[in-house]
Amino acid sequence: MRADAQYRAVRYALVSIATGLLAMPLIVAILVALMPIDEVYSLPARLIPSRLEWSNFTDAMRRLPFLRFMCNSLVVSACAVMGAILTSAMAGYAFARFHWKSKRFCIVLLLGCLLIPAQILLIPHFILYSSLGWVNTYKPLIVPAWLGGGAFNVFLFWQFFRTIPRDFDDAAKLDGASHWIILTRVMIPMAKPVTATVALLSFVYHWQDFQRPLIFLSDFQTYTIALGLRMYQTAGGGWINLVIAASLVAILPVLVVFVITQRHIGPCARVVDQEAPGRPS
Amino acid sequence: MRKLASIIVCTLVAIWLFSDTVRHYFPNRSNSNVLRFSHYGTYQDFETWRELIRAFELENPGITIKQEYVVGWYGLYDRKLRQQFLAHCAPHVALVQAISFQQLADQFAVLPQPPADASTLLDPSAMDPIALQMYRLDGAQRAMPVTGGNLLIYYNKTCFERASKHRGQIVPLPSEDWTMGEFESTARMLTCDFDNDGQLDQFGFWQPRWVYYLPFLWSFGADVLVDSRQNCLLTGDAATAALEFYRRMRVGPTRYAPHPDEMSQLIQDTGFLTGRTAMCINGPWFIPTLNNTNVRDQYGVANIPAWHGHRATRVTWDGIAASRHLSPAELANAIRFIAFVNSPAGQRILTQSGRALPARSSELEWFVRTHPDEAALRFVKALAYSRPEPQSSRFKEFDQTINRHLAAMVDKHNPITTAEFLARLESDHSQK
Amino acid sequence: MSKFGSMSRNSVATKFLMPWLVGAFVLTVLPLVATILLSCMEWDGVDPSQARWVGFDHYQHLMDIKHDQDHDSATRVDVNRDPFFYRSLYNSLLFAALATPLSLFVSLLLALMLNAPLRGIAVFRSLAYLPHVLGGVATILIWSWVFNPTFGPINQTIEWAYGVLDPVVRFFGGEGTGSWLLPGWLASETWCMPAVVCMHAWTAGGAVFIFLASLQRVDPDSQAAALIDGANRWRRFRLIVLPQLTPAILFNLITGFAASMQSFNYAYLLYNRAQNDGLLFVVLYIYRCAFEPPYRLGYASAMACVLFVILLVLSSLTFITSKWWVHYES
Repeated sequence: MRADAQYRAVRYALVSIATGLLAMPLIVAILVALMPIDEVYSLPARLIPSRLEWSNFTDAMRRLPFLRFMCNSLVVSACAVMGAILTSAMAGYAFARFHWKSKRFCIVLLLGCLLIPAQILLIPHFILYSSLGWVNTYKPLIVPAWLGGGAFNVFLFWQFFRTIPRDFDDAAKLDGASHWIILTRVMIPMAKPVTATVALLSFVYHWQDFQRPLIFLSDFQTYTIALGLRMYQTAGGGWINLVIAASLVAILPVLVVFVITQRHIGPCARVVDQEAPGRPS
Repeated sequence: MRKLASIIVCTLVAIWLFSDTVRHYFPNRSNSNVLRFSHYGTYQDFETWRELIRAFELENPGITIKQEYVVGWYGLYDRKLRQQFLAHCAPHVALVQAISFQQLADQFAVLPQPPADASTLLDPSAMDPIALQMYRLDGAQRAMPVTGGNLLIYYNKTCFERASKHRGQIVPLPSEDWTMGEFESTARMLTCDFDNDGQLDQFGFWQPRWVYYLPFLWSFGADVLVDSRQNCLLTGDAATAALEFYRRMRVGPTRYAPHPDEMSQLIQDTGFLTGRTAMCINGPWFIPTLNNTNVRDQYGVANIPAWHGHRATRVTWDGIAASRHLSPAELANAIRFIAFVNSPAGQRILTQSGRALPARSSELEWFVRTHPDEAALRFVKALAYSRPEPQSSRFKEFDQTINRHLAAMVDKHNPITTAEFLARLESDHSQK
Repeated sequence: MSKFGSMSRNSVATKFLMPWLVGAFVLTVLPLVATILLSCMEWDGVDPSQARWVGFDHYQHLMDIKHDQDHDSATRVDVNRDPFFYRSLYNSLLFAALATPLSLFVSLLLALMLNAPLRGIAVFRSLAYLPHVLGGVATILIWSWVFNPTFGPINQTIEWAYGVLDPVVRFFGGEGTGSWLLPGWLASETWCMPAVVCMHAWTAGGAVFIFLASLQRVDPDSQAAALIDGANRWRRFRLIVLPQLTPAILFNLITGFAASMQSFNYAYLLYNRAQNDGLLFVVLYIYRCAFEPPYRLGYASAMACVLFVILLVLSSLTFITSKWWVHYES
């Protein structure tokens, strides 16, 4: 038993050191965000601020229309997440429960979409959206999420739905439920880990997305938070305490969504692990 | 019933999706009472212009101004403006900088000049003559000056006190008409290694961008372009003296300016207000920033030091111009707007923050009255010896080559001499 | 009306598949074809009537296949070649070659550490995953401060360590640590890449959960058998655990490589002149050519196609070699 206690202690120590290292930049960031500017640039550098300058946060909010950027991002991310969950669950349901003539082709198409790098599609996307007159609106950011929400999400739902026994569908069918009802009332609630993971991943994707807003938005009043932070960087790069304070506020929503959904990632990863594309079936 | 509902939903979605598309291909027949005005600058500039536009619309109920703000530095804005002119979607009225105005000038309307055109609202005689001249090309006034700023030396009194204590002798504050020699010795005394660790903790002076060295260059009597505005004039004794001064500032045991490595991520502003640099060269826009920090009561503004009794500094004036491709009604509205920007009311809105000097000379008095700090007064007074940098596309080329060779001259390990610098510059230009 | 059976299964499937199918065609297949077509054209994206077919000119320009007209020498004309493209390709490949294995290693290490039935381990697992979701503009800005050459905590720590070492070095007759190197990180051509690789490795936690899932499937019986055989920790890991992890490693290798080849934010946000193009990634260069004046959409598309081919070839090579090192359970 002593060996066991020792083993535990060593494990805890290792794990704590590792997570401490990972948390290091964030701790530094919090300290810098609370420092007055002259202490940030003092030599030898000081780690702990002599007084906590909470006004840095309010200053950072006021320098640029920060709240507006946050709201823009929230609107875009919320709309996109809803679309991604709904449409990728629909496609996943079709793959998991139906057989149709061209199913093989569709599977190849899905795996192909997984492999095609998004970067090489940007230029045609720009041409498409600008010819639709969608540049400088949120449509280029939201509409793709409502069109399948990414091949990987479809794949996740497909694989997870496969693990749900058909008995549940059959029971619902006997009650007279349509496929739509089965999907939204039976399958999606049962696939909570995948739903949560897709929600998290697509929220993070849209919240952190920088390149597409950079290309598709031009009026600064429509900027998402990622572009807003870039504006901070260029406009006030020297006021690093304010830039970092703004950055910390900007990651708060991600943190919230993460805390809500994090316990479902593990079960979902098990699906990916078992069904990783490339595994011969 | 459900069919109807789904049809309605589909229709709404389609309307949402394609309303922008329809608008894109069938834009509203341009309403001559809507003026598009584009500008660049910081977010504070955006708010200032918004306030001015509101005041204008209140005074002219028939006209609506659509404010188009391009985020970021001028280069980006300039490129976008060119692109817009190429694509025939240029704004009706635009803020411009003299430095690249020449290449765009023929895209802008010639502004009517009184007394020849009595109907005009513009009043060039009230504006700063140098500023006006900057936007006059081949005898035609293509833009009106808006606001501007010149460069002077800021100094941090705390740094002087610290250096005095460290050295055990008083480091005198800059005097009204100090000389280059005095500047140099002051800056050297201000350069201190307080904790004796072999690294300098406080630098006498910092001037990161070389265009901010132009005041020194000019004060030494040197110049970058000759009158024809085609050839580089960085030759002769004056240039040698100015460049030697530049080199002494940065290399050798008695240097008093930091190497870029020593100021990483500190920009000029933060370098000064954290006390890392005791003096810097900056424009009036720095005053409101400083007044918001704890150096508020600790800084002063001094003249550019004189060389043999001569001093000069650089001034920039932003201009406002109307596109050449406007209907007469639109042009009339555009001129109304430009006139409002030039009017006392407009000038006061634009300069009340103290970030820029008014281009309307009669408003300078008001400006000094509303900004009672000594610093503002000094900038206004210094307009007397301020001059613009040459407006020529050649200047941009020189800018790059000079920048490159200056970097070699203050290289940390193997700096080239002034003579070598001049030789390299010479050979670069003889190749062109 | 959509009562079960009232509609053929085919059309129900189509209905559910429709959004994704439209997306796949309009947003993936067509753009792919469009990129290939555009890469043979010259267009600034403004006026469709200005578009011009140039065939394989862009590719010739990129690959520098233009032989000297003098047939006596096989020397190539270097004038046409685009040095930035090669520089950016090199940078991206270097970044991917450094960042992918490092991230893999970090996440594997984390997963091994976190694969223990300890109380509260779930919290640590979440904390390890957190950087992955936080990686974005905000954390890049934070990292750029951490790597600040003068005031940043990393160089401050190094300086402090040098200070501690100084008396020791002097004691052994050294010159002291005063002249020892302090990396310039993002403000230097040589050190910007390590800094960015480090930032990227920080976000490696994304793979942790996949590794954990694999680890949890490792057969406990074979572990126990090996223990009885007296195999030490390392042998047990190498012979029993690692083979079972290889499918997950392959998956993360391929996705991680593709992701780092396509990373844009580091290069765009951290770019400065002092790096001397040391951080010019190919994706950034494509972006600049396409979306900054003079808007060379065709040329940028050609580069995108080259990037696509490179990714495809390298991924398939990894995939082909995988049959020698990836073990699937029977």
